[in-house]
Amino acid sequence: MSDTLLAALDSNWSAADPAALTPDHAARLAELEQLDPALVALYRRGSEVLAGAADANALRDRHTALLGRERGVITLGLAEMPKLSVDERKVRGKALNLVKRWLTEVHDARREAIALEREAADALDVTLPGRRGFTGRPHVLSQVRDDLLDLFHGLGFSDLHEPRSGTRRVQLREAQLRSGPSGARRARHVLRGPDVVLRTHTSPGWVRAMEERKPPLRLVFPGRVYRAEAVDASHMDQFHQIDGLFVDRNVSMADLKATLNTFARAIYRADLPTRIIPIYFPFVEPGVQMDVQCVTCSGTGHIATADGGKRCPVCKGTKWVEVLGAGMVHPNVFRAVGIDPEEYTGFAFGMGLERIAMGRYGIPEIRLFLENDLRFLEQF
Amino acid sequence: MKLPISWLRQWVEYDATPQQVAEALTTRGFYVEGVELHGRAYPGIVVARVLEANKHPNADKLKLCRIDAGGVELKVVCGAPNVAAGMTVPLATLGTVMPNGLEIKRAKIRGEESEGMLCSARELMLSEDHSGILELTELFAGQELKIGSPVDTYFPEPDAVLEVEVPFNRPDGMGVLGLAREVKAALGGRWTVRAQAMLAERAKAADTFDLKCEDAEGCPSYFAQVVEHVTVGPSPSWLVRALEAMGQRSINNIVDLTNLVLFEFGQPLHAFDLAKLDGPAIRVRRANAGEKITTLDGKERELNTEALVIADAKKAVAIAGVMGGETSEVSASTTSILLECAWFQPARVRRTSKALALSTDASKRYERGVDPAIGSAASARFLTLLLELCPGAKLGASRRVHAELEPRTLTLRPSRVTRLVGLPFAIDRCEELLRALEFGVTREGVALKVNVPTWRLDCTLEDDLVEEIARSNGYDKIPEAPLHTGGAYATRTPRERVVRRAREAMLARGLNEAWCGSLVSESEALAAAEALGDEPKLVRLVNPMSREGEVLRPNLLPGLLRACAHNLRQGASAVRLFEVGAGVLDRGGRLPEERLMIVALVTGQRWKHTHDTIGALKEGAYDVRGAVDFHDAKGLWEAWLSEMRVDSPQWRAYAAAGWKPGASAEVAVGASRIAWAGTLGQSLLRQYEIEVPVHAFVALLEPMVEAASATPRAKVPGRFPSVRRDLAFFVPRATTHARLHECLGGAAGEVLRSIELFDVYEGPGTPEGMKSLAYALEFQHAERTLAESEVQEIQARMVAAVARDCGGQLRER
Ligand SMILES: [Zn+2]
Repeated sequence: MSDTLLAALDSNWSAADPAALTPDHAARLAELEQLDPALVALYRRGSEVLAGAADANALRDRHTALLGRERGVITLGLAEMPKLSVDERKVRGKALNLVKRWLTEVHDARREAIALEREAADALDVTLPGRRGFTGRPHVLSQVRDDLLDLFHGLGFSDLHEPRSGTRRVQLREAQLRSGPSGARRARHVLRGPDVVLRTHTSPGWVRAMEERKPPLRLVFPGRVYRAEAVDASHMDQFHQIDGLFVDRNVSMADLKATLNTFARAIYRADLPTRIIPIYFPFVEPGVQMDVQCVTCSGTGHIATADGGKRCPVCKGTKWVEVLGAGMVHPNVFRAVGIDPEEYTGFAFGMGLERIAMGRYGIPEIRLFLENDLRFLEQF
Repeated sequence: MKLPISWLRQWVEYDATPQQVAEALTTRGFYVEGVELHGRAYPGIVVARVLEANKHPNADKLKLCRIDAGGVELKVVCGAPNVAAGMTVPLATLGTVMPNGLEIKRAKIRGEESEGMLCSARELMLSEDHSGILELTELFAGQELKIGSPVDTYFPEPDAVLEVEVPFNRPDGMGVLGLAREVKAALGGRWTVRAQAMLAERAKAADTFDLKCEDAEGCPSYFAQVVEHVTVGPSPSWLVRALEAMGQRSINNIVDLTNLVLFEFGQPLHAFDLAKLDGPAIRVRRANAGEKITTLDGKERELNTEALVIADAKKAVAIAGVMGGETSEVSASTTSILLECAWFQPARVRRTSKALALSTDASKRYERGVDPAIGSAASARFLTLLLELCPGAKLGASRRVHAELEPRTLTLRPSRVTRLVGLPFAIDRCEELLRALEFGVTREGVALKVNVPTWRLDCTLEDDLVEEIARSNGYDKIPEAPLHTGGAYATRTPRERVVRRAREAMLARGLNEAWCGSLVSESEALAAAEALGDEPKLVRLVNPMSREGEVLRPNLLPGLLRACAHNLRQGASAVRLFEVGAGVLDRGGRLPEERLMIVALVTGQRWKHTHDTIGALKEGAYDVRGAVDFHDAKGLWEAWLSEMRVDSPQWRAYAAAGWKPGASAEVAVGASRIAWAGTLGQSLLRQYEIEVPVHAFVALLEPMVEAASATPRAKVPGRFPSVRRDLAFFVPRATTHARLHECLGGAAGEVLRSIELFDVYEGPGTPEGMKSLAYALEFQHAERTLAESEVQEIQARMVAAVARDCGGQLRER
C-alpha cells in the first residue's frame, strides 16, 4: 500500500527532519505504527519532503502531490479503500485522515517558516536616513520674546504694540517728564523732517497707554528700538526691548520686587541669586536696577585660567550682571497723563531681549542676531 | 569718577575695607565698577649701599659689588654701567618676587656668586628708565634713608581707587566730598577734623575788582580773586600723585590746584593770567553772534548768542563753564592770576557744550548742577593751598556777585514712604535716614518738614525723599509681596495671536525664522517697493549712519534677500527663511504707515535629505532631488494660507518689476489683495549677487487679524453616501485651471462637495491647441442619497457649461 503511494512522490525531492515543525513527530510515528503500520513510511516520507521544501513553489508542488484533492496520495489511498475489508477499511480510513491532518499541519508550519525566512531576507537598512523635509526654527530672539510674553501673560499682563516712529512732540513731552536734570540723551534717528523720530525706547508706549486707558493697567510693550550709533560686536543701531507697566491702587516696590524676581526665576533659573539696587532713570522714582549673579564666574568675580585665574570678563569682577531697569512710575508722569498719583501708584520695567538671549545662550556678539546665518539660527 | 580711598579718609572717619565701601556705594545707587590698586608695594626690596664696585674677573660688562644691606654684607653681580661705590640703591634680596614675577635666586654668574639684585626704575615699574641702577637719594631727596630698611618705608602706601558710576541726577557725586557724604551716611562715619575745617572755610571778597555779571540768568554767582606774585612751576609730588590717582596728568602748580579742587569739591575753578586780561576786568555776558574764541586746546570756535562767555574789557577770554581761552592761559611767565569760581545755569552750559561738541571736566559738572553753595569753601581751599605752594604770593583785588538761594522745603509723609516702598516706615526712622544725608528735618504732626541741602538739586518732590529713604534703608530689605491679579486677566491682542499663528504655520513648512534690520539702502528699498506695486514714497533718515541704512524698509524683502545672499555665500544648499515685521511707507499721514506682513523666501533643493537614485528623468517628471520650483513654493504658501484660515484665496497672474515675467501671482480674498507670490526676477536678485532662482511670498497680516479672531460656526458633516466621478476636459491651452474650476463649480451647484485637479496633460491624443485637465469630483446631498440620474444630470450641466464658457469638451475614455 504505502509503497505504491510512495511511488507517486518524486524520489529526488529534498527532505528535512520535520521535528522542528512538529515537536511531537516521534509520537505520531509511534501512534501510526500501532494503528496502521502500512502508512508509517508514507507519513515519514511525506512529512520529510514538506519540511524539506526550499521555497513556496516547491512546497506547493509537494502539497499537491500529497494532499491534492484530485491526485494527491491521500485521495489515492482513500480511493483504494473499497478493496479492503470492513475492519481494514475502518482502520485505514481513520489512519489516512490522521495522516492527512498531520501532513497539513507540517505543510502549514513550513509555509509559515518560508514566509518568515523570506521577510528576513527582505529586511530594510533601517539606519538609512529617511526622505526628510526641512524643519524650521524660530529665531532665538523670538523664543526669548515668547517666553517673556508667556511669563508676563501668566502674571496678568496683556501685550500692546506701538508704532516705531513718533512725533518729536511726544518725545519732547516725555523728556519734560523726566525728573531733575535732563535724562541721558540717546542719539536719535530723525525721519523725514525734523518732526518725526524713531523711538529710542519702548517706554513711550506706556505713556500713551496711560493716556488712553484707565487704571488698573497691567501691560507689556514689546518692540524694536533704534539708536543712531555705530555697529560693533556689542552695539547695534537697532535692538529689542520689552517694557512693562502695572498701575493700580497701592502698588509698591514690594510688588515690583516680587514681579522682577519671578521673572528672573522663570527666565534664568529658580535658584540664581538676584539683587535690586538703586539707579536713576527718567520716568521713575525710586529707580531700580536688577542684577543677577554672573553665570560665567558663578558669582566669584574670577575665572580659572592656566596661569592662575583672571578677573571675570563678563561681570568685570563685580560678580553681578545687570539685566533690567525698573522703578515706581514718577508722579509727574501720572499727572501729565491725568492720573492722580495720590490715588494710584505703579511700577514700570524695561528689559532688552538681546541682553537676555546673550546671557542665557552664551552668545558673544550682538551682531549675530540680525545676520541670519542659518548655522546660527538652526542652533536654537 | 575715581574715588581714592586715601582721599576719602581725609574727609570721613569710618571703619570698613575698600570692598565694603564699594558694596555700600553700589547698594545706595553709586555703582562701583571696580576697585584698582594705585601704586604698589615692594616686599623683599631693601635700601642698600654699594661699598665697592669692581670689574668682574670673567666679564667685561659686569661688575662685582660689595653691598651693605644693613649690617649684612653681600656679594652682588651687576651689569649696570652707573653702579659705583657710595650709591644708595634698592636691593632685591634672595627670595624676592619682582613686580614682573621674576624670583630672585642665589646664582653663580660667570663663576662669581651673586646674592641678590640691584634694581633699575623699570624693574620696580616706576618708569621706563632702564639706563642704570636707581639712586634712592635722588628719588627720596630730603628724606633720611636707613640702610637695610624696606623701601616700602619710603614709598607711599598703595591706594585702593574705586571707579564709581555717578548717577545722572547726582552731580554732587562728581567730587570726593559728595561721595564722602554718601559713605558717611552709609557706614555711620563722621567728618574728620580736617573736613570740618575745610567745609567751614569761606573766601572773603572785597569790592575791589571790576566785575560785572551782565547775564544774571546765565550766571547768578561769580567770585573773582586776584593773586599776585605767584610762581608758576611744577607741582609737589603729593599733588602730582593725587591727580594721577584721578587719571589727571600734572600741568603746573596753578592748574593742578584748580583740578584738585574740582575733583575734591566738584566745583570747577579757572585761573586766568591777570596780565592778559584787558582792564583788568571781567564781564559775564552772552556771546555776540559769530563771536570767535580760541580755546585752550588751540581750536578756534565760533559761538552762538546762547553761549555765555567770560570777557575782559575788550574780548571773550573763556567760554563760561566749558573751557578757557588760549590768550589768557596761565604759563611759566605768569606772575599774577585771577581766580574764577562761578555757578552757571546748567541748561546754558549744556546747550553750549553740545553746540560746540566740547565736553570737559568742568562742563560735565556745570551742566548737571554744581552745589551752588560750595564755591566759597572751594575757593578758600584753593587759595590756602596756593599760598602754601607759593609762599610769596599775596591776595589782591576781589569781588563777589551772588544771588541768594531760596532754600527748598518739602513735606514728607511716612505713610507715603510705606505705601510706595511696601515696607512700614515709622516717622523716627525716616527722620534718622534723612538726617544722615544732612537733610534738615523738623516734625509737623504726622509729617516731616524737610530742608533740602544745597547740593541735592535732584530732590524736588516728596517721592524724591521716598527714594532717599528707600535706598538708605536698603532695597534688599524690601519684601516680596505675594503676586495677585486682583481680578484682572491678561489677553493677547488679536495682532499677537495672528503673528504667532503666522510664524508657527511658516515654521511647520520648514522655513527658519529670520529677524532682519529695518534700515536698508535706498536702491534696495526702491526695488522692493516696486515689486509690490507700491509708490516708492520711502521714509528716509535725516541722519543715517551709513548708505546701507538710509531708509526704513518698505517691506521685508531686502533684509531676507541680504540674509539669503549671505547664506548662499556661506555655501548653504537650500535657504528657506521668513520674517514677520512691519514695512514702512510714507502715505501722507502725520506718521509713516506701518504694514504688518510676513515675507518668505525659498531656494535650493526640495528635500533636506533624500538618497533615492533617479533613473533617466522624462521631461517634466518630478525630480525629488531637484530645486524647488514655482509650484513647490506655491504649495507652501497655499498650505500657509490654509493654516491662516484664509477662505478661498484667489490666485491671479501678476506682473511687476522685481518678479520673473510669467511666474508671479497675486492672491485676493474678495476684493482685496492680501498676498504676492512668485519667482523673483534676475534684476532684483542681481542687486544681491544671487544667481539661483528664489521664490518669494509676501502676505499682509492686518487683513488676517480679523479673520483669525472670528469664531467659526460648526457644521455637521453629511451622513448620506457621496458619489465620486473623475472627469477630464479638453480646453483651449490658454484657459486657466481657475477659469475651468470656477465654471465646473458654478454648474455643479451645491451638491458638489469637493473638486480636485489630478492631471494636466498635453500630448498625443490632445486636439490641436488644446490641453486636458482632469478633475476628481465628489457629490453629496445633505438630506438624502443622490440618485444616479441626478448625478448624470449634473454632469451634463457641467459639460454644457464647459462648452459654452470655455470652448471645451468632455474627454471621452
Ligand atoms: Zn563674572
